[in-house]
Amino acid sequence: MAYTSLGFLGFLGLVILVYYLVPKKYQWAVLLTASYIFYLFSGVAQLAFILGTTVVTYVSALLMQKKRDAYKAELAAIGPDITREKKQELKKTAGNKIRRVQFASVIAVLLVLAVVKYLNFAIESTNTIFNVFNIDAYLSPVEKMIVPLGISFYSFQAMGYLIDIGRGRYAAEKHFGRLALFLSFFPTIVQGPINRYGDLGAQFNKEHSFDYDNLKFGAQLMLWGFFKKMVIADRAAPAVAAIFGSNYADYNGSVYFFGMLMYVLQIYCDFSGGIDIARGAAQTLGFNLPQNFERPYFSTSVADYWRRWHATLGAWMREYVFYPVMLSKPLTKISKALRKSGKAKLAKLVPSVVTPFVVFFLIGIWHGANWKYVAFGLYNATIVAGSVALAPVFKKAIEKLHINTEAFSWKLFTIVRTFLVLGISKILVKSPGLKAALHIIKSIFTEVDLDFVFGLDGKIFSLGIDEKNMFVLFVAVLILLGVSVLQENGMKMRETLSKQNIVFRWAVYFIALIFVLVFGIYGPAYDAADFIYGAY
Amino acid sequence: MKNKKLVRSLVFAVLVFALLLTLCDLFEYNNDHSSQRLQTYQDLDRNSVDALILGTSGMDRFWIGAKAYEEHGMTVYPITVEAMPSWVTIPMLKEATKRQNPKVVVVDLRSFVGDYPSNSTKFDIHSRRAIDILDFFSLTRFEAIANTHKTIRLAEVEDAPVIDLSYFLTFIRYHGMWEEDGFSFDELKNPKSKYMGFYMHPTWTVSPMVDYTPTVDTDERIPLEPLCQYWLDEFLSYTEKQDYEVMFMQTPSTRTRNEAGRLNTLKDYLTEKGYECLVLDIDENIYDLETDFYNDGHVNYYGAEKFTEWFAKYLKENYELPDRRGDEKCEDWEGVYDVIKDQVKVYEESLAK
Repeated sequence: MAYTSLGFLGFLGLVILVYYLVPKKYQWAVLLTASYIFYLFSGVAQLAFILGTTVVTYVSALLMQKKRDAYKAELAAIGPDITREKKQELKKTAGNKIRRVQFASVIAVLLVLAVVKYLNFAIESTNTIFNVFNIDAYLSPVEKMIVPLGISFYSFQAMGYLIDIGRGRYAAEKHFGRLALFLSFFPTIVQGPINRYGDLGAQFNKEHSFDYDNLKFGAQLMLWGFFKKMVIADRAAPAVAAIFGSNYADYNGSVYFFGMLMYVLQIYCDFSGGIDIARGAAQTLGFNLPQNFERPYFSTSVADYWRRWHATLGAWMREYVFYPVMLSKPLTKISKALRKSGKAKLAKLVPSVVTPFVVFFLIGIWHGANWKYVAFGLYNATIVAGSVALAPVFKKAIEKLHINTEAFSWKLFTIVRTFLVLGISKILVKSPGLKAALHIIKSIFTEVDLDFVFGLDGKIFSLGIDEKNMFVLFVAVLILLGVSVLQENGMKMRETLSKQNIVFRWAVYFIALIFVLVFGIYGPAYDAADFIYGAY
Repeated sequence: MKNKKLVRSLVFAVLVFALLLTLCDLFEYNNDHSSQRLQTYQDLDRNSVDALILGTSGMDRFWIGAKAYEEHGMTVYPITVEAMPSWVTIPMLKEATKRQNPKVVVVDLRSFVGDYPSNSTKFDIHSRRAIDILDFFSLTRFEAIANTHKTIRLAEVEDAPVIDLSYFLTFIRYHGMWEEDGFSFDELKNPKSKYMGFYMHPTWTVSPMVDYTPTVDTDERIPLEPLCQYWLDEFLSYTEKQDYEVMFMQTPSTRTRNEAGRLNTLKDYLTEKGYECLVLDIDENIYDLETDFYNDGHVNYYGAEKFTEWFAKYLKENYELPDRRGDEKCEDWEGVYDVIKDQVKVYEESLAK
């Protein structure tokens, strides 16, 4: 069930109604039922996967909790006379037991994710290697592999939860239903945001009374999401499909650049629009989900971008991959060795440069099972690691050139620079393959078609977005840009709007609603020619 | 405070609902001649129509109601939709008889001789041309959707269309009509037919036929598509209970073997049940195939003149339709024939250039 469908709106409306009508102690049950019904729309077989992950997560967390409780009980039984050595021994023993459970459970969750999402990719890659080395062998890919809805999201949430329980961040959830709800909460199951149990789980334990403001603000956020998704993203989509499709070779560098702009727009509005709908839907039920996008195209560096783009994935990676890798024994050993040999700067630099490669490799592969995603990850890692490594050089250059880094012009330059660097990375993802991506990137820098750039040949309107739609897209992007600039300057749009006079406020709501309803792309396509001339 | 918010919410919800209804009303399938024809018909004075012609393009290209009114004073109006499928004939007839009490209903056989649409797109378009011109809140509209659903179920074909929400909320389908070439905001109003249902087209109305497939003469009796047979029986069972007389007609056209064979079957079947059933061939004493038709299934204006001449006399003689000229209720019919003839001259001049 797509978030942009009328079916979803009807479903949400029904859930809201039942949710606020039932006794508060059963609200979790309403949400869990709704989430599983929502999930069932994607198929019965898929439900088995999420249930399996939930059971493994629940049991493992309880087991870890039990071991931690046993350790605490043992400490308490011995009392204050316990020696330091004994305490450390008990702690180590308990820690080892907990880590074993944690490791096994995380691997179990990861394994399911890896098999359904990456097995065929691994098989195809192995076959390619066989081919390159003339090895007479072939592995058959698994046909009709089921990829459960939102598996990346709920698996990451489950792993995060298991690691946090292992670390003793909070107590394991004893209520199976609430944990199941945390992993399957319907507004977040399709595309996140990736939640931490400490944030979302705590909200499931609260009772939620009907709140007019929550309903209002939630609906507004959903409307904004619909605007981004249906008016902008889906309108830009045909051009992206045409330019980066199988006939990509028909176009020149200027068209590719236009395609890149369209894709950058599409992917942002599609993803962030979906997240707005998800967050808005959750808010109508009284839940506050984390921001996932904070105007990423205003980023002044790639590292800044990854704090603003899919922020919850970035936070997850930082918490569960970046710091553990950075502080891992091998890297610590290398740093120590370098420091001992008098290379203090290098000792500091190595973990900062190596870790981004691990993190971005995972981010790349998380986006999809294809080498182009790996290339995308490594490209980002190179930029981030490179900027860390070269930071002193840049600093010196800025000083020598007397650049005022506080000036607007510098900020604008860094924004445009980051935007273009990221645009290139998006080409890696969107192109039909790595070879095509390299051809496209090269063409952007080597081929300029002035007729196209100035719209003299009208070709721009033959790429799936005609004049009328281009105009609507242009207006919509201006609205998006205007709102984003205001937000970037600290304005909270919904709160500000709610303080306005009712006539102005309602006028804004209705204009927005009409804009989405009339200019949104949804429903069966209507082609007058079909009706008038077709199908006689 | 709570009450104030509640009232505000309710007012807001009502306004949103009103907005949706307005949008549904604006963005509907109303820029097509079938819709305009029905729109004009619905605005006619109550009980001012003597006879109805129900069917496909095989009727609205042939019948110049305004000419019949001018020359005989009869008010005979075509309620037609391109390729009107058999499964919407009953709701269309119900819609047409809501405000009018005709003496006779002439039913186009073309709705029953066709094949089941070959793919879901065709099926969808055939159905929606009819469904989407019906009033948004009318029961006949729901009946047309239900019949469509029933047909899909009975047909048991793989490539069947899906009755989605856009069948009920037309706005879902037509909100993008502004994207069409030549769209103007006038289309958001409900335009009417200026020709009392007669189909006018800048070229077809005055063009001769370029090429045609000769009719296949056959005495064969080829069975109807089971679904057509089913809906024909349903149609007959519905009309049996009504006050008006029903006659069937196939207007002149060239025919394939299949069509000719099915028409033979239909004629036998209907005649046996006591219905008047006219299957008209192209009578070369009346029509000139090269100048009176714009394609092998449809006459142009010149052919329509001849057909109307003949059929008006037929109706007058067989059904004793009254002469309504001068009747206040029929003012809308006055002068329309002149409008048609003037427009034809414009088309002729344009074509000559």
